[in-house]
Parts: sequence; structure tokens; C-alpha cells
Amino acid sequence: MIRRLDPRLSGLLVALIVLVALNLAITPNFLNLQTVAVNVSQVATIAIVALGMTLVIASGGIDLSVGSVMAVAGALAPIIFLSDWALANPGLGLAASVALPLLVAAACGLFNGVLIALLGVQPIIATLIFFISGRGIAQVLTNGNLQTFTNPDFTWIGTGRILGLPVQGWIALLLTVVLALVVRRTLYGRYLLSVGGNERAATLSGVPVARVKIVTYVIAATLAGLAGLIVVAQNSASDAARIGQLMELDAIAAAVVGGAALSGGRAPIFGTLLGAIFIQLMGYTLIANGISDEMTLIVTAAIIAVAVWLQRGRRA
Amino acid sequence: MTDALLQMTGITKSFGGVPALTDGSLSIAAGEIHSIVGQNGAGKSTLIKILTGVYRRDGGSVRWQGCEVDLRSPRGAQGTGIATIYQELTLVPQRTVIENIVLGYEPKTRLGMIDWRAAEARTRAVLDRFGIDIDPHRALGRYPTAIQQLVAIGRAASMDAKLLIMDEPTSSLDEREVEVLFGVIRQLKAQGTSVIYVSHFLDEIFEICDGVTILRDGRTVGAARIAEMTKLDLIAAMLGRSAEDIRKAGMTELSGSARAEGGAVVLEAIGVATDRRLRKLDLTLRAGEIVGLAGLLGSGRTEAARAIFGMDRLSAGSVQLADQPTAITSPRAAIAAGMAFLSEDRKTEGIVPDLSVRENLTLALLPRLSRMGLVDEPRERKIVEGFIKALGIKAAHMDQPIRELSGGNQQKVLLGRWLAVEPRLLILDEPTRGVDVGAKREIQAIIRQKVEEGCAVLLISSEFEELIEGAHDIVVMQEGRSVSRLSNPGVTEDQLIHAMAAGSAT
Repeated sequence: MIRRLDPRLSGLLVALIVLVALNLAITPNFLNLQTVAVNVSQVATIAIVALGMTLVIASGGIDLSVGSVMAVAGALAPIIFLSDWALANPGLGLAASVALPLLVAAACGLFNGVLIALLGVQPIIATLIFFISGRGIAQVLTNGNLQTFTNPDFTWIGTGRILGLPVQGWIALLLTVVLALVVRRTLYGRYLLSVGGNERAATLSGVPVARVKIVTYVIAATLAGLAGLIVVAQNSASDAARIGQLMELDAIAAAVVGGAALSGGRAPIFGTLLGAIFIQLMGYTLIANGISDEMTLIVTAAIIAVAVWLQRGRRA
Repeated sequence: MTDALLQMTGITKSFGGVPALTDGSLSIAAGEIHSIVGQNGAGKSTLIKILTGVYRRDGGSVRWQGCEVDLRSPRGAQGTGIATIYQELTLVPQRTVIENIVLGYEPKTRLGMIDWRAAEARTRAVLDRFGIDIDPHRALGRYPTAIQQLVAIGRAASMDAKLLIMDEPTSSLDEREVEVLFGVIRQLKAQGTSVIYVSHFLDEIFEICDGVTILRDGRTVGAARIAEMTKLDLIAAMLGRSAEDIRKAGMTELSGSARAEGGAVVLEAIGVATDRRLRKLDLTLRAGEIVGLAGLLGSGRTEAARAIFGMDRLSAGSVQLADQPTAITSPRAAIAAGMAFLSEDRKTEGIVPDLSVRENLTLALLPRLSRMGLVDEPRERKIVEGFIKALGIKAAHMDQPIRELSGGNQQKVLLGRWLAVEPRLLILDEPTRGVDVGAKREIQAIIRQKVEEGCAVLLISSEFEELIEGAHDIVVMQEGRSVSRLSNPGVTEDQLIHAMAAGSAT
């Protein structure tokens, strides 16, 4: 079955192509594998978090806690694989240092989801709780210290390459495809869009609204946890105060540029990936051409504003 | 017609090559109350939106007080003297009545601040004029919808409009409030203001309007004085059929369904009460039977449906569904037990606007259409295709967003949503409200067919005709209680009105 491409998505695609063409013309070494790899590794974590954010936004909510969840997961992993137990059982230790932080992240999402879906707390307030406390918890876990380590098996998810490209880029791509299918083809995906689109109608039609919301926040938090692990692996160091800082805003920006509407009911998964890539490439283009960091921030913001304006949903 | 306030002739308008209006005309005299009628898609709202400056016409002329005008924007139309009260309220419920009345037209002091004293004076003048007795300092949202609507009308009237457009102004008013509204309209007329009054309730048109313009398939097919017409003439003109044909067929399509004698009891409600204005409901429903629920607005009809469907917690009594041992405490459980509930509020409790016709139609059926969490889309498409055909849903294709459909077609999709779950008990709350005459008859025919297949139907309706001709029995509600049960055939409109009003006298 062939579906016409969403006009919003095609606009973004055109903008991306123009940006790439521009870079080919003016940026030296743009197609160099090293350049591509750097960009991919930088955008991957944003994209992974933004995917979860897109689901949350589609449900009609928002998740401010993703950056703090990244910090908690990222702080936890080295603690686990540097423990005596993990050093004695390297295989199990490695598995635990990935699985446990993800479980903890999922639990954070469960906390958010329960507050929002069962207790009726507004999403922005509910996730603000963990936004503030999460980073504190992460710093308590690490006593506020920067933890550095060498563990090539673990750091592979942040530094490894497959077919020349960073592992996390492949992870982000795989997750995009999987989530796009989830949204398009599954019961959960359909329920998600109906809850965000008209919650009362969904309730009356027998949609388990609370469960759908909770699952959504759990997915978002788990993806954030994964992004936290990747950042730590990339740096071979975990700095609880810095991991995932401002990530919630990057993720929201990517989702919105990708076509998500904050009123809910739309989950443009591919759009989010393109949105994240667009923002990344924009910043890179400016910096690579000698524009200062400060200017880059301003220009990027302006371009996001234009992108959002260009793809406002037209309604009769 | 030299003294016409407004004269629109030969108006054309197309959307993306599809003509919505091919020859629209409309003529309104000063101080005239005029209605525009037509089925959904006849071009009514397009004509009105051209008049209010929301759309620009492709061709034709608009003369206002004898001069050619070009209405470029809603604001421009307002400046000309054309004000509109929309079907959906467009006020700010969180703000006070005063703030709403002066919104956008705030009186200013010399320093450029809002002159609240003048604002209050203007508000009180408006409220007094229309006999609305409320505290203007309280938030508008704390008053019932009807009051909010009257405030919206008062606001428009206070702007000295020469022509006031009201689109379905009574859809959420009860009878007393309708009378207050009609008083307001007559007063406006006496002061020389013209009113365009659009309503699906033909009775109201006959009561309040002087003239009527009839639209069909994008063109004006007639204009007449109301006094020279019968209701049947009007319906016939809208449908493009002869009055005689319709008289033979009966006024509604529900009539003539035979009752399946001695059907098994499907639902029994005993002494049901909720915290939501439902005090004591007793109701028995049998298979193959339509039971109507009659009562004034606020008598607890919708609340009764909500209680049965598991939306509100019962504070007393019990609802017993056949072969269903456990109490139903959520819509989800109700659907699983074989119930369906078509809400009266299509916009806020019905459609999911951004989802497609297909996705809206299968929303309640979805659990049965999926395996291991995956939706069986080929099967879904087949089912939806069947319903689009059976219900005569007019959509470009099943993946079209439902918000792009007309009201009648949206309603058919929602009816399809509930028929798809093959319920044994179908609760319909005002199923034909805000739906054009053609779609209304089709919807009624579908309901009848469902009943003949053995489905039990609880029909909530404010239209006496629909209840009297359609329902086998009519349960009458008053102040949250079921007070009597009338059995058809033989119920007359007088009896029904009497039963609804009785008790309030004793």
C-alpha cells in the first residue's frame, strides 16, 4: 500500500537536502567518513530521546525528566561494572550494567506515568519532580564525583563502529523503524493517537487510557536511560551533573521540527529523526564555517522557528 | 426589493476544483428574521462563511444596503455590521462575564487603560436588556452553556450589528431558555436588526422566522414566506421530493418497525442513582425493542445513559445486564459486555479529529481486530469498506481525516463505530441531532434494521416525532427520576408533553 508522503515531512526533507547540498558546496571534507561519524554520534542520543518524547507529546503530554533519567542511568552503569561482583563475573556484570540502569529508567517512567494517568497531575508538573530530583539522585549515587573508567566492552555502544558508522547511529535508526511500525501497526499505537487526539472519545470507546499513558512514559524514560548509557560509554566517564543536561529541550525541539503537535494526536516518528538530524546539521554547518558558538545558537533558534512556522498544520 | 438590507446573487465558490456553491442567492430585508435551510453539503455554511468574510467568493455579487461590498475578513464583516454567533462558543470561560462582553472592544480611559466602570455599565445594560440575571464578576465558565450562549448573543447585539447570524443557537438550550432567546430575537427585530437563523429544528423556524431560503446541491432553489409554507413543504423542498411522497412514507424512518414480542430482558436498572443529578431510574429493556427516554433538558436522560454505560459510579441501585454477573464500572467493561453508547456530543466525546475515517470507525472494535497487539489491517479495511457502503458514508476515501467530513457523515462513522462491535444493547443519545434531513432518515432506517435483528435500543431524543413514531415504549424522566412509561402504539404528542410536564404542577 502506497501512502502519499505527509507534506510536512516532505518540506523537512527538502530543507535537509538543501542543507546537505549547501554543505557539499561550501564545507570542506563534509563527506569525509570522520565528519559523518562525528555528526551521527552526536545526533544519535538526541534522536533516541526525541523518539520517546514524540510518543509522549502524541499522548498530549510532555516529559521534562528525560535529561535527569539519562543522568541516573549513566551514573548507575559504571557503579555496577566497577563493583567487585561485576569484576569477578565480567559477562554478567556487563549485562547487568546495561539492564539494571534501563530498568531503573523504566521505573522512573512508571513513576511519571502513574502520577499523570492515575493521580491526574499535569504532565509538565509531574515530570518536573523527577527533572529536579533525578539529577540530585544521580549525584548522590556518585558522591558528586566524575567517574572515569576503561571498559572496552561497555564503551562499544558509544564508540564502536558498524560499517564505518557509530553503533549508536544504528541503534537510533533501528529504534526509529521499530517505533514507526509500533505507531502505524499496533493496537498501542492506535490507542496512543486516539488518547492524544480526543481523550474523552477514547475513554468512551473502551480505550484503556491510563495504561496507554503509563506505557508511553515508561517507553520515553527507557529510551532516555539508553541515551544516558550511550553518553557515558562515549566519554568513558560519567559526570552526573552534566549528562543529559538540557536534553529535554533538544528532544522537544527535534519532535516539534519533525511535525509533532503539542496538542497531541500526532506521532511523526520519521519526522522526529529528520528533525533531530536537521538541527544537528544546522549547528554543524555554522560551526564548520567559522561562525561562533554564540551566533550558532541564535541562528539555530531562528531556523527552528522558521521550520515550525512553515509546517504549521493547516486547518479549515 | 429595493429596501433589502442584504442581497446576494449568483454566488459561486469552489474548493480545490470541487464546487460547494454554484448559484447561491439570499435576500434579507431590514428587521427580518430569515432562515437558511438545506441538507448538509447543500452549501449553507459556505454561503454564510462568504457573508461573514471567512471565505472569499469566486463569483456573484453581494450588495449591502444597496451598495456592492467586498467582505474580506471576519473583522471586516463585523465592521460592516454583520455579527456572528457560532455554534461552538467562542468566548473565554475562565474570564468574567464583563471581560467577555467587552473582549476586543474594551472601553478605554484617557490613559489607555481599560475603563472597568464603563465596561461594567455596558455589561449590565446588555444583561438587563435581555433579562439575564447573573453576577457579571464571576467567571463565565461557571454558568450553564445556555447562559454562556445568551451572553455571546448579548455581546454581538451590543456591537450594534445590523445583521446577526445565529448558527444552531438552541442546540444546547432547554425550552425555557429557547423562549428567552426567542424573546431576545423578537426584541432585536423590533429594533430593526435582521437575523439569519440557522437551525435543524424546523419547529423553531416556523415559530420565529419570517422568511426562509432553501439550498440544495449548492444552489438556492427557493425562497418563501414562512407563513405560506407547511413543514412538509419545507422538508420536501430540501430533499427535492414531492410533499405527497413523504406524507405516505411517514415523517421519520423509525416508524413501522414491528416489535419482537416477548423478547428476553437485556437490561434491568433498579433504583439507580449517581452523584450527577440521577436520583432514581427504573428501566427494563428487552431484545428487539426500542425504548425512548423522554424528558426536558436536565431531567437526567444523558445521566441515565452514563450510569448504565459504566461512566459514572452508582451511589444507589443496580444495573443488571443479562448473562453478566459483575457490575459494569467502566465503558471498557460495558463494551466487552455487549453495550454501545453513541454520545450526543460528537465533537468532544465522539470523533478523534486527526484520525482517519477508518481509524475512527474501528476504535471500539480494535481489540477484536488485533492479535498479539498487532492490528489486522487488511481485515480492518474490509470491515470499514462494508460500513461505508452500508451506511452511505460520503468520504473521499477511508484514510481521509474525519474532521474533513460533514457533520452527518461524521455521525454515520460514529454510528458505524458502535454497530461494528455488534452490541446487544445500543444506547443512542440524540443520534440525529445536528444532522441533515437525508442523513437523519438513513440513520433512523439503520437503527430500525438493527432492532429487527434483535438488538435492544435505548433512544434518547428531544424530538417528539422521533420518540413517538420510533419507540415501542417511552420512559419519561423528570428531575433525575423515571416517572412514567408510555406504550406505543397510541402515544400522542400531547400525552408525551403532559407526562413530561406532569408532577411539576402537583
